[in-house]
Amino acid sequence: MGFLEQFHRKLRIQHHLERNVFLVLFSHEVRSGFKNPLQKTWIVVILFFGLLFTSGSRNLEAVSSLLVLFIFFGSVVALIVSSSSISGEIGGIADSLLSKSVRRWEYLLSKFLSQIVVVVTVYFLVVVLSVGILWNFKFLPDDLKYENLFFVIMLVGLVLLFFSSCGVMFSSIFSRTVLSFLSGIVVWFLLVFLFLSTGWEFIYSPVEIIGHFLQILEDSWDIEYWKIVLFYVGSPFLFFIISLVCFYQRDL
Amino acid sequence: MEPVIKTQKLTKIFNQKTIAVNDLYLTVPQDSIYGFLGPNGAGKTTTIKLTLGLIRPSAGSVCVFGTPVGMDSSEVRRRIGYLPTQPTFPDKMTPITYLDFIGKVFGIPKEVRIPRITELIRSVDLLSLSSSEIKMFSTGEITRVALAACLINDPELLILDEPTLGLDPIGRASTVKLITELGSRKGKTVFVSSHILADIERFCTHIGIINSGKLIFDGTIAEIKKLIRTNTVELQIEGEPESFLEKLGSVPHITNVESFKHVIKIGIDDPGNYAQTLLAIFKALTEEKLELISFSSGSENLEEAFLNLLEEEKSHGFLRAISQKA
Repeated sequence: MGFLEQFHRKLRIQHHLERNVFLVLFSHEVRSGFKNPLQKTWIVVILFFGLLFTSGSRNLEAVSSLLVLFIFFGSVVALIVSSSSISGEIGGIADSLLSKSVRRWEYLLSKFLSQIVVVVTVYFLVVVLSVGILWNFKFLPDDLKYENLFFVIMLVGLVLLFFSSCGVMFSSIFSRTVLSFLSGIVVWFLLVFLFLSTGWEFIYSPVEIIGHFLQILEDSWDIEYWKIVLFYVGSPFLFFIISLVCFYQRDL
Repeated sequence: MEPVIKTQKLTKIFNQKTIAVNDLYLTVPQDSIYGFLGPNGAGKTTTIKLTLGLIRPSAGSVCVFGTPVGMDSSEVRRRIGYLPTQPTFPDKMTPITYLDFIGKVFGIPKEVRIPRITELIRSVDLLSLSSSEIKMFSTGEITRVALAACLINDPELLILDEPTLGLDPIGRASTVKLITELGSRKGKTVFVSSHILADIERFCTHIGIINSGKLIFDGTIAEIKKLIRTNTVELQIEGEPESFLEKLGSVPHITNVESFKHVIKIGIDDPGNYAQTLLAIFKALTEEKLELISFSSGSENLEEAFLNLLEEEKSHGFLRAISQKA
């Protein structure tokens, strides 16, 4: 295929992308997400701590500390940002968009996916950067099973995805951002302190993932991982369905 | 010709407490400039939001272009341009980036979108501000950006919710001019809600008056003026009016003459004698060599008509409701 043909084909893709309402909204939301002052501050803070931990510990502890930071602070930042994503726009931008050729599910899906993409992108960039530096300078143990390391990183990523979508869900239910944030924080407390539970449910607490960081790396934590993965992957889908039902009942 | 907007038994009750719209039958004809009048809290914005599918009716239905409107009626909304009362915009956007974004939302191809943005920015006089952040704009400038945004899809129906609210006289005049121009184009229907009667009177062909969620008048401007015709003419003159007033006493069909300083109010007995009596009045005025400063026919005051209708609705609303039930 010649250069001109390739160029033309590329243009057609661009043409189609620009005419798809959902993709237009999604790309707009992602760009706005990165421009959010809180998100910008968080990126600077987490990059600073990422480099600090990496240059300080110079071993796996740096990654572990970074994951702790994401579990406890990253999830709250995700909640704050996502809690205002819809409730902050009702009576304003949401009305303006939904009075145009935008369907409610397109608006909602663009909110969910964009919030998740922004949070998860920041997370993976910082963590991968940190692991990359440690690996480059050979600070990681020789017997480290990288698949296990990336599995833990993925689990923490799923936790962030959970809180991010949880915030958007509450944002679509409540008219006030404060209420959606408070509801999100209640879920955050419940999930974090679930590790105190003596029953089967403790494994769903993100604290457990961090607490068993080394055991997961060594394959010695004896639990059924699929349950955790299913919980954190399934919940955002459930949140989206709840959001959809509530948002279609809602007057703007 | 099928009406552009048609509502039947449209009712909206918020939280089972507030009746915002009550059994509304509204018909907006094609190619008209329809003025939707009502005092604050009458249900104008709620009716507009119901028309756009932004809120769900408690009862009844709305049809736009003959299609029932629901929450996901994106195909109908593609043909509508909507200007909200207080337009809001995403952060850090300029008129160009905002219009481009809205153009993409409407799925307008680049080759059409870009020239249209340029044309709109020129027509709403925002060329000098096209690269500035909208956040820093004045109310008038914000209205102009929003107006450009609601025209980007070249809509067949334009819904404007209080477009002149908060504008200075210059901004108001230019918005009125723009609406009049748009309404005069073939294939365009403008639905404009307002409580500024002077604006409505200036550019609307049809009028609907809503009060407490109920439509109390629906017709043309001429019809509403006929409805409130008082058979009174008002003259403002320059000069001594004594002998003119004496002459008026002998003009047939004049029922009463009231004079206060330079303003003379003349009552005429029957609408059928209106033209004949007016001729006699003007003849007397010419003979007395008085200068006519202003003349009003007594049926021109839309504000009076509006207030009369509201008053009538208050006093007869209950009786009407009873008779409708019976």
